[in-house]
Amino acid sequence: MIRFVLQRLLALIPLLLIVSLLVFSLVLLIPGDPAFQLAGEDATPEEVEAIREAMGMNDPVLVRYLRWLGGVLQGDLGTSLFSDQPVLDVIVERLPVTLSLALTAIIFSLAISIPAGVIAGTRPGSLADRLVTIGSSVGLAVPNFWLGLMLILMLAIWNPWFPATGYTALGDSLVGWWMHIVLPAFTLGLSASAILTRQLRGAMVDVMEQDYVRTARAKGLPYRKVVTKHALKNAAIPMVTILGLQTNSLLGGTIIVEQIFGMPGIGQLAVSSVFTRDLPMIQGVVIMAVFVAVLVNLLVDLSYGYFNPKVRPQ
Amino acid sequence: MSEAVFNGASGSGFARLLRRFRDQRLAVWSLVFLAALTAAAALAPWVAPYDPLAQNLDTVLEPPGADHWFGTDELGRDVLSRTLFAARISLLAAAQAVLIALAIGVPPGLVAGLWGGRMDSIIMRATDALMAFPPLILAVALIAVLGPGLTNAMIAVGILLSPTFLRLMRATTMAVAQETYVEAARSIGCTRTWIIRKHVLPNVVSPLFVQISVFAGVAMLAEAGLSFLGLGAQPPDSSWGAMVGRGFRYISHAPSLIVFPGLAIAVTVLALYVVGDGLRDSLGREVRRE
Repeated sequence: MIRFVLQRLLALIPLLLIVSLLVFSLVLLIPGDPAFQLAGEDATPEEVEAIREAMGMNDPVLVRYLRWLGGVLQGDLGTSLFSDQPVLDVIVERLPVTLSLALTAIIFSLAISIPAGVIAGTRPGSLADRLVTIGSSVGLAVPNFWLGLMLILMLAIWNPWFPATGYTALGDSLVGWWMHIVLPAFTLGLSASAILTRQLRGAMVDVMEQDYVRTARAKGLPYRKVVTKHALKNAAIPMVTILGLQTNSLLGGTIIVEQIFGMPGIGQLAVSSVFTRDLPMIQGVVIMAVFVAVLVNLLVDLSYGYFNPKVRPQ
Repeated sequence: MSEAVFNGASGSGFARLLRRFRDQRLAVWSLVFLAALTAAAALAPWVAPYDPLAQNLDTVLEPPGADHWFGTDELGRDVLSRTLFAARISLLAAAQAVLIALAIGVPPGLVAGLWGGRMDSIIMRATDALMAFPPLILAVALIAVLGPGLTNAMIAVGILLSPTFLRLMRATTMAVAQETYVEAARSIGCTRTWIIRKHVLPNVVSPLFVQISVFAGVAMLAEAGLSFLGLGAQPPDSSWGAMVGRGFRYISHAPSLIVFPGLAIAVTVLALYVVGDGLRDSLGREVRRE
C-alpha cells in the first residue's frame, strides 16, 4: 500500500512541474512592463524600481523561475504587494474558512444526491425518476451566485432565519458556525449534487440489471440490503471519480460564494487581489488551490481500493 | 466551419443526427426558444419598450408593473429593456468563449489523435496540467494578469474549456484512424489533410455539436459569474451577470433587479443543456458508446 502511494506521488511530480511553470508564467503574461503595471498609475519611478527589485525582474527568466520554484518548495510563496505580509501566512489564515465551506458543501451534495440518485435509479421511468431528472437539470442551470442571492432574500431578509453574511469559526461557536455555513454551503453544493445525482442514477439503473443483483434478490435477500450492499457500493465507484472532479469546481465556486456571503476565505482573497493587482498573492492562491485539488484526487484514487478489491494494490 | 465539413457530413452522420433530433419535442422547443431569444437580442433596439440607458429619477427602484414589466433600477432605467440589451452581451460572450475554446482545442486534438507518439504525450501532459487547475480560480488569475474586461474574461474561459474539446477530438480521431478505410486511404497514398477532411471531420462533427451546446451553457454561467464579480462586462456594457452584480446592492429594496436577469441566465442555460442532451440522444449508438 505504501509503495502504491509513493508511486502515485512520484507520478505527480511532472504534473506539478508543468503547473508551477504555468503559474510562474502568469508574470510574463502581463502586457508591458510588469513592475510598472503592478505599481499602479501614479507610482514614482523609485516605487517601480523597488517592485522590479523586489520581484527580481532584472534577472533572466530561467533564474527567476528556479528561484521562485525553490522558494515555493520551501513554503515561501513570496510577499504580498498590497499588505507586505508573507503570502503563505495570509493563505493559511484564510484556508479554514474555505475548507469548511467546501467540505460542508460536499456533505450537503452527497446528502442530496445519494437518496435522490437511489430513488430515481431503482425506479427508472417513474414519476419520482422524472422529477429527480428535471430537478438535476435545473440545479445545473441555475447560476450559483443567483441561487445564493435568492436564498439570502428568502431566508435572511424576508424570513430572518439565517444571517445574510459573515462567518464564525468552528472553534468559536458551533451553532454560530452552522448558522453561517448552511446557506453558502447549499449554494456551493447544489450544482455538484445535480451532477452526482445524474451520475448515480445512471449507474444504479445499470447495476440493478446486473446478474449478481438478480441472484441476490432471487436468493431472498431483503430488497433494502440488495440496494445498499450490492447495487449502491458498485454504483458508487464512478460517483467517487465525479466527486474528485467536482472538487475543482467547488474550489472555484468558493470565489463567488464567499463574495456573496462575505466570508473571509481564499476565494474572497483571490477577487480582492485582482483589484489590487497583487500578483504574488494570486499565484499563491492558485498554487494552494491546485495543491488541494491534486491531494483530493490522490485520495480519490486510493479510495478505489475500498470500493473495488480488484484494483487494490498487492 | 468550412463548407467541406457540411458536405462531407450531410449524407451520413450529421443528417441522421438532425432527423433523430427532430423527434425530441423538449429539445426542439428549447432550440426554438434560443432562436427567439437570439432574434429578440438582435432586434433589441426595435423591440425593447424603452432606451436601456434612459434614466428617470422619478421612477427609481419600482417593482414590476404595467409601465415597466420587470420594474426599474436605481437610476430609473427599464429593467426589461436592459435585460433584452444584456442578452446581446451574454450570448455573444458565450459564443466568443466557445469559439476560442474550439480554436485552441480542436487542432492539437486532431494532431494528437492522428500523429500519436511523442507529440501526443506532450499535448496530453499539457492538457492534464491545465485540467489540474480549479477552473474559476485559473480564470481569475488570468484576468488578474490581463486586466478585467469581457474579452479577457472570455479568453480565460475559452482556455479553460479547450482541454475537453481537445480530448474529444483526440479520442474520436484515434478511433477513426484505426478504421480499415483510413488504413486503405493511407495505403493508396492519400495525404493526411485529405484524410482529415474526408474521414475524420465528418465523424467528429456530431459529438462536437453536443459538446458545443453544453459548453455554450457552461461559458454563459462562467461569464455571468465573472461579470457578477466585476471581472467581466464593464459599464456601460451590461450582461445578465453584471446586472445581478449591480442589483446585489438593492436586494432588499428591489429584488426584481436580480430576479429577472438571473432567471434569464437559468432558463437560457437550461435550454442549451436540453439541446445538448437532445443531440446526444440523437447520436448513433456507435458514437454514443464513446
